[in-house]
Amino acid sequence: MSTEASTNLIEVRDLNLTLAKRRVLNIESVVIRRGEIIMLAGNNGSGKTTLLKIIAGLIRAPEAHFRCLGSPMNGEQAAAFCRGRHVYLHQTPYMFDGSVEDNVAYGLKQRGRDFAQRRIEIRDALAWAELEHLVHRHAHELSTGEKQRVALTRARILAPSLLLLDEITANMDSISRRRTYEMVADFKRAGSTVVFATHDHEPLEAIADVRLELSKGKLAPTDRRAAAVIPLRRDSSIHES
Amino acid sequence: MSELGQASAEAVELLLSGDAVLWSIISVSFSVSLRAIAIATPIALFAAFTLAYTSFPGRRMLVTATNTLMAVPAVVIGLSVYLLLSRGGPFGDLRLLFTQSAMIIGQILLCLPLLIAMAHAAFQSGDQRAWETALTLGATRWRAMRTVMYEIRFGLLAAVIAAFGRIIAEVGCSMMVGGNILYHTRNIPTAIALETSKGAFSQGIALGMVLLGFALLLNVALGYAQGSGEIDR
Repeated sequence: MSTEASTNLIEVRDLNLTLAKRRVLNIESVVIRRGEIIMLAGNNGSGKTTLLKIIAGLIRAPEAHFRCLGSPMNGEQAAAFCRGRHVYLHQTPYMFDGSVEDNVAYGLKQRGRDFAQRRIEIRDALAWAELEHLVHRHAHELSTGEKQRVALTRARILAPSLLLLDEITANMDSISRRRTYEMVADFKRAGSTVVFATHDHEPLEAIADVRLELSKGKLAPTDRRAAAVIPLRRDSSIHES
Repeated sequence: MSELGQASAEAVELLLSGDAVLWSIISVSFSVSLRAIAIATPIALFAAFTLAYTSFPGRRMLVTATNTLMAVPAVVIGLSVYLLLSRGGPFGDLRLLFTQSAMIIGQILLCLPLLIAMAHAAFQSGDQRAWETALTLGATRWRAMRTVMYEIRFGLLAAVIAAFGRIIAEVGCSMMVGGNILYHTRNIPTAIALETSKGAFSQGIALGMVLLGFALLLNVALGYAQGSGEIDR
């Protein structure tokens, strides 16, 4: 299967991970397809953050087998491939010491965009998040909700193929949540796939295409569509090394 | 008391009169210690980062060793460098003994453990999310490391200042490997030790004033850079 033509962004098989002598994940198989919003439900300590960080390339899973955009990879290769392509947002976002503009510009600088191009993209992205009035504000002075919107803007401006959200609405009031869900739906419209980890199911189900349940490190489908995301039959062509 | 007062007055006069010997001693001191800290800092920051952000066998042992080396007296470092650089030593052919280069080597070895330990503590107290956020936004590991260093820059700056304070004021190592040669390797601490042993206190006090003044300047600069010193709310 060619890399560009693959409808699956990433497939992971035999994802067993033990951290500090505790089995954190024990997932037989999971597939993330293009253009979907996947709701990843689970209680605290169920392994949601670890799974998201593996898919983001921030944690290595040396024994798992990956297929990224159709290409088979081992844990090391997959982490290097995913890092920077898949954007992960923490439950409480980290704001770099600088203005909102500096924070939004960070990823663009890494991609070598020149100053003039950055200014245009930042202006458009802040307008999308209705944050233009905060452009010169120091990021540490923002409210939690504003920080989360800046973090979403910082991701949006990079147009990631996969956005991984780790309970980002956990500390928000209902208005901020609704606004965040609208922004997440916008990501899908712009062509990004979104995995949204949460333990609060209700409001997200309206925009989620697929719902998965993670419990004690094991993944279970909760509807018919999700069953296709967790294939029961193994794909023998996935890299074995 | 009047003797101390008289010596202090003479010390101020020496400083203000631009005494050539005094200012050569001050110049050697800062020249050697600034070069030593400039070489040691990047090495120490990279080592501290590696200890804090990577996992490898023996890491815990290295942290313990670094903390232990902080307690090694300057004179022991001086003795080790002396043995290495003396004629019969493995690096005797380099003819570095009793030169500023030997003093720089000694001071680097003296400040490295302190720099690494303090920088490691700064990295540990930093926020892991800074590293992850930088990486997920597309930074290379090298660039992400620089981002993390920028985020904890005040902790790292404090480490550099503490390390510089240790080497600019140490006497044992400089005396052994520098030889206290006027205009070449006589620095502030070795000069103070020599002048005091001769009973000539005014130059010693003048040099002590320079050290104190510099320490005050560094701490004011650090305090200014850190802002109000309040917790970020």
